Amino acid sequence: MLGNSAEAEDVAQDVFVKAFMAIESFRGDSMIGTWLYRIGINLCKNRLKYLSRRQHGTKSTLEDVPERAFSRQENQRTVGEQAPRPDQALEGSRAESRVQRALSRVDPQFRELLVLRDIQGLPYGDIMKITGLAEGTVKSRLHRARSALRRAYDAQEDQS
Amino acid sequence: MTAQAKDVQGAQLTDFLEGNVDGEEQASIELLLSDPAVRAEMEAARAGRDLLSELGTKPTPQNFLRKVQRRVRRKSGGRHFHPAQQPFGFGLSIEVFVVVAVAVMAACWMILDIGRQTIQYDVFIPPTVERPAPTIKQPTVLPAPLPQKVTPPTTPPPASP
Repeated sequence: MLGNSAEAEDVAQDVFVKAFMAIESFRGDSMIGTWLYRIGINLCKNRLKYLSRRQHGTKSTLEDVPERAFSRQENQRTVGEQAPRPDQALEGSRAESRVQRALSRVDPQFRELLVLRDIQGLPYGDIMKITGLAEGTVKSRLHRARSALRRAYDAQEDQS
Repeated sequence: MTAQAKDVQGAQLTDFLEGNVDGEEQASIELLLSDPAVRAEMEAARAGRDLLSELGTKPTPQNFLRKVQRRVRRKSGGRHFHPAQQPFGFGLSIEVFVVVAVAVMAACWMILDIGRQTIQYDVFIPPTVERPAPTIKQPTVLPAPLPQKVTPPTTPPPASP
């Protein structure tokens, strides 16, 4: 969502701090996970505004992607599954970083839907509660968001 | 096409892409897809979704909980997660410690009490024997002492020559 792992960790910590301090205001209308996502999305939006004001921009996440790729493969490997070769892992991490970079170029209001639906895999009911949008709006925006991501990815590939 | 109609079409295409359409709706969407522009848009959306399927979630950073606790402590002015609330330094708050201590004391008391009862049952109590009540002898009046006889002194026999 933020395109930077350090910022993401900072915001993730803030989410839990805010939730802890405001737990009394949680009415239990929705799942606590949905409530946390809503806090997270709002904090991400605020952080993006702050970063754009500071012209922090999109700092490259390339430096932490290889480490992430390796750690993810370590965690997700099942018994008997062979570890990928280093060149495969590196190629995978490069592809992932290209997708991350393309994602960071998509409009934030589209990006949040891509993250919630296609990365986190949340149902539409939860997405509606988190974003406050109607189901039809979520779906139509999601369609445009996916197309926009593909265009951003292609444009990036053309540049390189 | 109006913006609203485009929104409806976008929602329909999302449903179609995710396989959430019934037979009648599917037929109408397939008719829509006969338009090359709509089909291209549909393929772009599919490709965008496939790109994201390669991304995974990041594992929780190390010491994440500790960092969050530190922030809460700072924000609350030391009211929460203060080290003083953790008497043993491993996250046990003073309330939990007090409850555990009381529970341990109660358990000890009960164990000791049970032990005491067991000892009581083990004690050998000898059977009681019916004895006649002791008779108290009345002091008897002693008779007056008899007058002593005076016996003459015996002379030794004369010695033989």
